[in-house]
Amino acid sequence: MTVATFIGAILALLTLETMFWLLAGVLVGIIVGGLPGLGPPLGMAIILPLTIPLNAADAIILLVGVYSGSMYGGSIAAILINTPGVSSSAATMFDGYPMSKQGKAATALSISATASAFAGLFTIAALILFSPVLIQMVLAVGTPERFLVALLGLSMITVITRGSFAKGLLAGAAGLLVTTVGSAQPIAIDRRYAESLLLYDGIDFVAVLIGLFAIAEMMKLAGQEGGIAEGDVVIDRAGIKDGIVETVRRPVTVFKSGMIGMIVGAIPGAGATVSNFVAYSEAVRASPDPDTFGSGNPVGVVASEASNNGTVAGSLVPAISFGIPGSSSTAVLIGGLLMHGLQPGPSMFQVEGELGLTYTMLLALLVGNVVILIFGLSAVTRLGYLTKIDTDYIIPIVIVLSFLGTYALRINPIDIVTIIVFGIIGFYMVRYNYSVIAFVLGVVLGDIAESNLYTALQISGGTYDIFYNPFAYGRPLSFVLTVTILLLLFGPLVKGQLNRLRGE
Amino acid sequence: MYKLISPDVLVSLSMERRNFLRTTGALGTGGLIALAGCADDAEDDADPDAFPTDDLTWMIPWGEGGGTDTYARQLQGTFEEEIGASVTIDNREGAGSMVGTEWLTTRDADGYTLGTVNSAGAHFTWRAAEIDDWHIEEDLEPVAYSGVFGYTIIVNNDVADEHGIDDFASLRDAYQDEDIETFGYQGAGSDSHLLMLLLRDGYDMAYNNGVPYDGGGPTMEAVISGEVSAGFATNTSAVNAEESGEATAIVNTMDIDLSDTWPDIDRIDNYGDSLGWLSEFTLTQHVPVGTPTEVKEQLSAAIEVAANSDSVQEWSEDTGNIVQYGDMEEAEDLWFGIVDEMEEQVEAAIDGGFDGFLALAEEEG
Repeated sequence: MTVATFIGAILALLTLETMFWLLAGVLVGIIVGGLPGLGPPLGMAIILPLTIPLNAADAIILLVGVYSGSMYGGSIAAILINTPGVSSSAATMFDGYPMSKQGKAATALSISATASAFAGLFTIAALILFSPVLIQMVLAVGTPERFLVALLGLSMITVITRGSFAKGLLAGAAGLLVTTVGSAQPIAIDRRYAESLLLYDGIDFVAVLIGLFAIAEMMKLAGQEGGIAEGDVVIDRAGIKDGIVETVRRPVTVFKSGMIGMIVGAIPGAGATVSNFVAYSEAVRASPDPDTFGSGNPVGVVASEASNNGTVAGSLVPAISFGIPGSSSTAVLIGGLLMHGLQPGPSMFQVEGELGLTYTMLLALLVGNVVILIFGLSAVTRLGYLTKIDTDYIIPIVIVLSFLGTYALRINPIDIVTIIVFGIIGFYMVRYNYSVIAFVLGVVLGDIAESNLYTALQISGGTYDIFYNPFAYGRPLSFVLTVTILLLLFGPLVKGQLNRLRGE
Repeated sequence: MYKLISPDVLVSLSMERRNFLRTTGALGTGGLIALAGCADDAEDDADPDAFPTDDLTWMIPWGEGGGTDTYARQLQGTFEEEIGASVTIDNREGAGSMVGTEWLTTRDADGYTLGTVNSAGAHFTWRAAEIDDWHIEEDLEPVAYSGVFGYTIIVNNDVADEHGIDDFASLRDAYQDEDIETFGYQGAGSDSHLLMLLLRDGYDMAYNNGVPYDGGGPTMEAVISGEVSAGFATNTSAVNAEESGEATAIVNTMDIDLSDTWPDIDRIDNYGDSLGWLSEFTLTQHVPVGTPTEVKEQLSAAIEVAANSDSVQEWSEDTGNIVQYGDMEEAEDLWFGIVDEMEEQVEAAIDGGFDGFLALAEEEG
């Protein structure tokens, strides 16, 4: 009986030992997520062997605690030092860091904690209530849909680009070009340079992000006196309260971004980084004042942070219902399940199977979000003082952390070269008003788009109707996505024409 | 040109990292203290009788949470007790396991660094990558093997029910009758690509459309969702596929017996020669060339105890992962001469041999 299973799960969670592992997981996750380059997969991988002595429920709770905590923790470095703690916090930088420069770091951190926790709470609740629907949705999203989701993200370049449109497109194309290094996954084409094995898997996009944002910003700060914050830094209850209010008064943005995170997160291969950009772009598109994004608009932080914690719930669906690793993090989670003798599959959602454990894990995530809220508002906001420290001290610390974190990504010396090169590129892109966001969208989505385009065309025998004909392949979702992309690209143009005709 | 995708990958992770760096990166000076300790032990390290006097590193050329990594972590605890030293699992993913394998060949031959490199998947990948700087057989020495895995063919359950597919013969007939068309595999130029071509040319599995995916996870997902009718999955992943209730493993392409897990599974060698040389992989533990024999024997003995421990055997029974110890001699038999054998087999099956296959893969890509 489901209710009895649910109550059993609550009782299982409410033991001192289990709550301890949950708390430990979330706190470790926040710390790991806050360090540049060290994202949830690494945090979970470090913890993985330590879970062996634990029972299965505690082990999985510890792992998902790290996962959820690090998703939130990534925002700390993003807001304070313009460095993505995790790649899924990249969009948080766009407005979070400008807020820090304006002396509003505490407010931005408060928004991050509140939006992360609220989105985490309702998406986990939605997962508990609607998991059967989500499981079916995972099966409906195939290769063509994944390509179209990537294309949707790329088409957002038209929404988020400010200033010269041509420069935005050029930056996006340059980002795509970066992803052509190495081999395209399902295709037998080798695009290494100098036949180096180190370039076989291409240029790591997290290294690119760290270079573009952290290194470029430190280069810029080198010419600035004082701390990161250009004005007074106020860390008081009012600032924290402002952050809570900024979030609470935008329930639509929190809900929409959390759902985007959850749905895109449930698509294997897309994940938190993609959902982060999609949610941010949607917030820009829906805003009556889009030009303020990128210069410290709190809505940007709300959207980004709500989406990446929403992704946690979504990504669990393919992982535990089918054993499909949608991301590196869930791959380690599946490893953890197997290590403890648990087999991912529908039985994880069946009363006669492991539904009790699944409920316990999801309830633990619910409680974990409360931990994020309390810890985020009470302790993390104090870190805003970091923005007062003189840049003479901040710059070397950030650079060392960036290099260490980047090298730890793959133990690949190419990544060190990457952050230096893209640091310089990022510095000059900002100076000459090229859209860094458009460039990042290209870098993040290029691989996903290319590999899925190729495989989708292989399935269709080379015809493109697989992307738009809902009858030929029984893929109505492809049709919906294609229409959405077209509306996004040409909607404003058509609307403008219609308005002009009406005016005439 | 070609692909370096191994069937090993339960998952395709984009993360290679080294535990040493993790801890030093996080803890700072602790790493320096540890390094100072290493310097003191340098003399002892060279003495096989004193082995081990320091911690060991166990390199896994795949990401955390993948099949090979999970095996190593299961063995790790008992292995540490037996060898009498702490062991760090060091994941060095990249280029279809070649980055980590290459790194292993450059380590000191003192027994303090070992690694799991899978035969014959690594041989295939090394050959496909046309690596000249080092040799997969000449620059590594196997000390033992601890497990076996390989490819099965899984079929989407709706497709199987509709067309009555429950063994290789009925799958073959369904393709020949054009009842079904698509077959999923793990990337153009990979060993699974070659295996698929061999099934078409030598076993009459006349699929119309071979669809490449980005590794094992996406291929399995494609079969489960019905995007392709059938495809390859490792025996470990196939358990997941069956658990999903959406797909069934119907053919074992390996030599090893899988009837404990699937009593009714068909065998490809019922329809022709064995394909185990390409489809079956042994998790082989290696050390760099020149490691003292006494040290290799110690490592091998510790792996034997770990593989046969109750906890590992229990895990094996629970999950379907095949844990099987092979001593140094048996591991050597499965390691040396494989590249030549592979060349001969491919030469016999494909016009132009291995180079012909790579050209074909590039052309299809």
